[in-house]
Amino acid sequence: MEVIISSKPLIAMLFALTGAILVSLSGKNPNIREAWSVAAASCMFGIIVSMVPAILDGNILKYQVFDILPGLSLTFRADAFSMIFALIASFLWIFAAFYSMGYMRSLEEHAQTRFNACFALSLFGAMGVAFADNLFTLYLFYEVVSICTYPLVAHHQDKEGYSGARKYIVYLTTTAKGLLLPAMILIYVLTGSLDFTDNIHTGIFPADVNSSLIIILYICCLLGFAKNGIMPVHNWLPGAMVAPTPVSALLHAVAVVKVGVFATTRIMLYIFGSDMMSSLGLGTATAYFVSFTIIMASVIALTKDNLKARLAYSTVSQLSYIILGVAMLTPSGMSGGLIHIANHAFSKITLFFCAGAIFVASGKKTISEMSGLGRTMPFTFGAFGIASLSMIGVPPVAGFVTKWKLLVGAMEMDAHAIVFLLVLLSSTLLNAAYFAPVTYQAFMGKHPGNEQFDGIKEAPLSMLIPLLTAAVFSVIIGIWPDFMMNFVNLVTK
Amino acid sequence: MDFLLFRDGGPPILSMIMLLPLIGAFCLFFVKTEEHQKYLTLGVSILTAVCSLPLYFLFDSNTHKYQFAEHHSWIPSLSVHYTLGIDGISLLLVLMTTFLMPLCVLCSWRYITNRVRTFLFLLLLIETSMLGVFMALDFIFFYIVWEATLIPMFLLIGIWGGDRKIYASIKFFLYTLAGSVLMLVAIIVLYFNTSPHTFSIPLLMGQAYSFSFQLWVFLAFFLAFAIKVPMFPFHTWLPAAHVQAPTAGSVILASVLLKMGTYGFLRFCLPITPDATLAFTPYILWLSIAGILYGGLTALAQNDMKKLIAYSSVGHMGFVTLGIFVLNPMGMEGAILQMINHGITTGALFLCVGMIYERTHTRELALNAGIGKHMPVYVTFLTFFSLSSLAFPGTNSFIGEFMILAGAFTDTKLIAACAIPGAVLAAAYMLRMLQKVIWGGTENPVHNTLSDLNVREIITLTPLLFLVFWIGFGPRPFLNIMHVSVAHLLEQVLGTQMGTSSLTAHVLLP
Amino acid sequence: MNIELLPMFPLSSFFSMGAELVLLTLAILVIMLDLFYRKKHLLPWLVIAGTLCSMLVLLNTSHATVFDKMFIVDGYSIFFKLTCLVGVLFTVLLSESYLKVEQLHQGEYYALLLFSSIGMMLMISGGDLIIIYLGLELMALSIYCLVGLLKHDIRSNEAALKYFLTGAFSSAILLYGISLLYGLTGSTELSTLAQKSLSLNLINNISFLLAIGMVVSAFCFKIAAVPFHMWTPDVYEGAPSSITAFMSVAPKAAAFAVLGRVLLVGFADLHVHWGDLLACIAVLTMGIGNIAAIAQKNIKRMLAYSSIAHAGYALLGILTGNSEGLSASMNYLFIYTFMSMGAFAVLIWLCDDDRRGEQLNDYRGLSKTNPLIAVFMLVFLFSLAGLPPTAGFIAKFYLLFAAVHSGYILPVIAAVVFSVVSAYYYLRVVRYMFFEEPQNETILPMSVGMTTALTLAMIAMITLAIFPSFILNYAQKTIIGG
Repeated sequence: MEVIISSKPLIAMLFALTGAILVSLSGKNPNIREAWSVAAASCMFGIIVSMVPAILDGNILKYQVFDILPGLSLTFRADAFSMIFALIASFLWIFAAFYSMGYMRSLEEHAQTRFNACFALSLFGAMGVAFADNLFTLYLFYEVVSICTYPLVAHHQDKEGYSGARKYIVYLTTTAKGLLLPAMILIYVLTGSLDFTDNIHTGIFPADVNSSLIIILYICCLLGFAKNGIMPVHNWLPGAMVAPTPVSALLHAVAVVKVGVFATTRIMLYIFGSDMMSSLGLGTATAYFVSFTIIMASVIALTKDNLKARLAYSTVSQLSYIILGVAMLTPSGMSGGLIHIANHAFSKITLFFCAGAIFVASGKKTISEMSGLGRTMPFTFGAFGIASLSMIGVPPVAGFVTKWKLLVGAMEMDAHAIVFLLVLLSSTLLNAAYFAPVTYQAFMGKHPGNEQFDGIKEAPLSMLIPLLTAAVFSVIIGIWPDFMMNFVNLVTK
Repeated sequence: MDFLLFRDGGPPILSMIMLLPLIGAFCLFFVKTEEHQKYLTLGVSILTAVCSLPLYFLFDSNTHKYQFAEHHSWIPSLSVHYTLGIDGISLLLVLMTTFLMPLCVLCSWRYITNRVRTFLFLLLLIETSMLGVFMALDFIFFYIVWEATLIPMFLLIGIWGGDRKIYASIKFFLYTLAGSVLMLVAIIVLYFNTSPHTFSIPLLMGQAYSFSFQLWVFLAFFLAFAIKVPMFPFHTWLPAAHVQAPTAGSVILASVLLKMGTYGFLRFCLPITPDATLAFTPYILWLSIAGILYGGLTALAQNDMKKLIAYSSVGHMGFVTLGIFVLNPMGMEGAILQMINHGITTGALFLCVGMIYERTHTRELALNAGIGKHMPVYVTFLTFFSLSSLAFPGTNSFIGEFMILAGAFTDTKLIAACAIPGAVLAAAYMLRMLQKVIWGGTENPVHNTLSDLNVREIITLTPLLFLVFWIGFGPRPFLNIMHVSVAHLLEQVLGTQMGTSSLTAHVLLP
Repeated sequence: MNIELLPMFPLSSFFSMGAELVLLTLAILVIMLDLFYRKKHLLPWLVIAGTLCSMLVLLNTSHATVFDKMFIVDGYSIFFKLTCLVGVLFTVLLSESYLKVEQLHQGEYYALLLFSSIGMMLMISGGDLIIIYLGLELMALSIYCLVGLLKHDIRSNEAALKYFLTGAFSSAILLYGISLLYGLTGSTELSTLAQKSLSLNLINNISFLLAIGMVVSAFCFKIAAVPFHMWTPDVYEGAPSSITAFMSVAPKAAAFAVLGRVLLVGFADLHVHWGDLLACIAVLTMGIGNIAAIAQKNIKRMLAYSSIAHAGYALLGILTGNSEGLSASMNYLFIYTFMSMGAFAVLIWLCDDDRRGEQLNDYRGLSKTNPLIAVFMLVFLFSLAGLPPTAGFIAKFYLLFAAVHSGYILPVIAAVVFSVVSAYYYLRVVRYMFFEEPQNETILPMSVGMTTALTLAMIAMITLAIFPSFILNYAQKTIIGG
């Protein structure tokens, strides 16, 4: 393993930034504007893909932009861990760019320029998190994501939008400033540096640090990255679902929440290190903690009739899988958790795309209204069905790989294995309980109130194609998980 | 006089910088039209800024001694001298002052319509006295220029202020005057308790004063500086003055005048009365915390944009005093940097508020709601400065706050933890303001005629934005200047304890 | 006149009184010319020329103690006489136009003014309590008349009568004190008194202390120190404004000179007794003067109270009982002369047919109608408040410096605190001048005298602020025995 000085991570991010600037400058001409979005997304994906060979050879790309204070710098790194997130997010941005074009134009939404610019900026932030080489850089871009997604969440500028957005920003900045900032400063004071290690086992703390201080720091970090949706800091996520669906799709299924989870796991492994986590019992404690979230969120999801709300709680639950996997601190568990970043992304974006398509085509938001709609919109609901299978963890769709790895990981644990096996199994049942009826009712159910879905047809192609492609990809990475698994294995080896 | 470093040959650069605005002020009386007066003032202030640039390049950051020194006898019978000199602590403040003044002139270009000449005259006058404060090394000369800032500011607020200008200006004047008169007594008492008797500030440092004597002197100083900063609970003059002052007045007040208080702590309280400083430190730390929290909470409740920023100043200055009194290199350097940051950021925010006030003639958040749609360039600037104000990572304030908190966490974890809610509150009130201004609730038809920023206004704000990111990403040049001076200062306060106490020593000091 | 009758006093003794004699001649000349000369508008210029002449003579007078130690010419007296003459000079400059507004007779006015200044100079030079008393009466009687010159103004009449009655009362106290002293020591000559008080061991003698108390009280009355200040506001308000200006400066300086000489020459050894007493008086004077000034609506009254307060400040120097403090007081009074005269100049300048510059409203918007005057007034007022960077600060600083040096910390703290209080009422005037809109836009004419007075005062302010060491050194050098 060697460190290569390369500005590619920075360039990838700059594509997003440039894209945002160009979008905001070409607001007058929608076609050019959208072209910039797509171009930025494609270029970014291209440059990230170009890094793949080097990473797969076990190298790390690093690039220091600013040396701010001793031990504090703005530095980017591309390693296997960041690639898991970066590849997915940049790839899905291309889909989302097309999809949101269709969505926004169909609904004739206002302020599309702002929307697209903020969208690109959010991706800029997400890439920054992915490529952060130290806690400061991570924190910086974590906050960039918070700020830039605010206009997206509040996009409708109505009462509901404002209150959702307020909740969103209050949760995220309060936790980031109130917990993360002090934690970061304390880490800096204790170690004199904020850089991530290259070894996920050792962590950065010297051996003689007070262990109760470490525990406090850990709790601050875990709850500080509120984007990871762990209860009790999950509440912003359902609230943020007032945003237009492409936002929910990309950001709240892929970028924003993944930023949270990615950051959490990054800290767990690269700051605290698995050795310290296990010696202080933090791994098991975290696993118990997120297990609660997994179960509770699923139960709440059952009670939601609004499709997007149900998806939101599903997200809360699924995110905790990732943390659960890493917190198990067993090789398979970690793999399962990390691969779920990718698997969940593809499946969840499909689900949100579908929800958006249904809304655009029929104007319906609640599940009960959609009864029988599947017969009118077979492609959409078909894709929805595939993606929900992935969420449930049915082979051969992507989610199965996760579940398999997680179950193996739970069994590898020395103690408590049975508890987490039960958690995983019961949550799978719950997943099935809240996802299966949606598709079933859509295809088999009666039209509510004998209403005929006259005039409703499938959503425009610019939406349909991305959602179908995403569904297909969910299947593909379920059948051939090796590509992503390569990165995961590089991390956990 | 071995603590002074004279420059052989070359012009007396400090005097030149200090007196240029004064000369310019009197030149104003020979210029007829208002337009020309403005250009003259702008020219003079820019010239001053340019003249102050060599200070940065010629400054030797390897010594704590006072550089570019000038030493002349002024009132020999009272052993009052005209002594100037700057060290790593004051250099940045001098530079900040000279660089902000052209912006103050620019932002008043259209804002001030009556008695333009007087206005410009006062601006230049106050610049001279502010520069004098940061350069003075003789205590009486310091006191004179310190108080001399009052009269121009009093007039600036009183003549060009808002509806309650009279109340605000008189409150400002009396409050700050009341604080500083006791300092005069303390200065004289110090004089007679030092042998040989002297008003030379560096000579007064490191004298073996008795503890009780130090306590009294410290209290007299503290009152003066705490009111100026302003520390909670001496802050009540600030919101009134800020809200009523014209934009340039607010900028000067926030950016420079408040810094005189914290500068006072650094230059006088700490080195002259170190034992008393150590004795009072816990109380001052808690007062700082109170200021941080109080400022934040009150700012959250404001509907007037200027008031909001004014209260945010109370909070930010709380961070500065916190950093000073944790008494370690990290915290103190952070505090000095934060003084500069606050000058840049809050100054910029006041400029922004002034620009919107010129257009809508109101500072009410509700009435300015939703202007983002009509003024995209403006809100872009406002966003960046607000983010800087809430210490968004990557901006200048983040570095300052980070270092202050790192310093605090090094020694006093409990107090540092208590300051954290202040940081959260900063995000809360700034984002609240941003949200209202950019988005607002309702479409206000009055806003349809709003014009976005013109070139002059963009020129006014751009340098500040540049500085926001420069310090945010590359604070090293600024920190390097102060390393040695801060280390020396801490040595003066802590004596031999230096070097063993804090872990940050190895982090920051070479 | 038979020279034989004055064997002890050689003719050269009279050279020591040159300045007084010049003024005396001038006064008589003024009276004569007033009777026979038509071009009355030239009178003030004659007085000014004469005063300047007297100053010149004064500066060239050699130090001497003449007339059997009754008349002392030393640096101290020259300094104070100069201060008084500056006051006279300003008064005349201000009176030039003011007398026309008030339609006063010029001759008697200037003559009385000159007589009172002769009285002051006698007081200042007096080495014997009797001479001091004579000088004081000459001064006081002239001023009683001057105060009452506005015959048609009931306030003026009242002021004159009040001043006369209280003045007579204080003179009686002074005389009683002097006679007690004479009875105890057999002398009224100051240096003899000092010796006798030691040799007769009178330092703790009750009647001796009582006598000193009486003498000091009488002078405190003249400098309007609390609790002997009651007459001041009414008299200042009622007197013609130019006389108010005069009274706020010259008689006060003279009384201070005497107080200083009496206390430091005559009773220096009793400093333990009068030091703390004067400290109390000083604090009270500053306090009551400043606090009462806040409540005043009338500017003249406000300045009256302010002048009371300033007497309190000036006492800070004297109460130290050493030469440093005394020179600080001298310096203070000298600078105070200019700032007080400057402020009164503006007040008098504002007098026309329907206003007297006494109401705050008269100052409304002055900075718009007459920006230069407003700026001048601003400088004078801030100087009176003792704020840096004005000359008033230097003056006050030296006083505080000297008082702290002698260990009087508490009076010093009181002084600075009360100076904040004083800032409030000075600011009020500034506020009316600068922050309010003008009521009427009339631009008042400037007479030559007024212009000269304002310019002189301003130049002095600036010079004394930037180069204060000149006057400080001079004051220090002229101290008794120094």
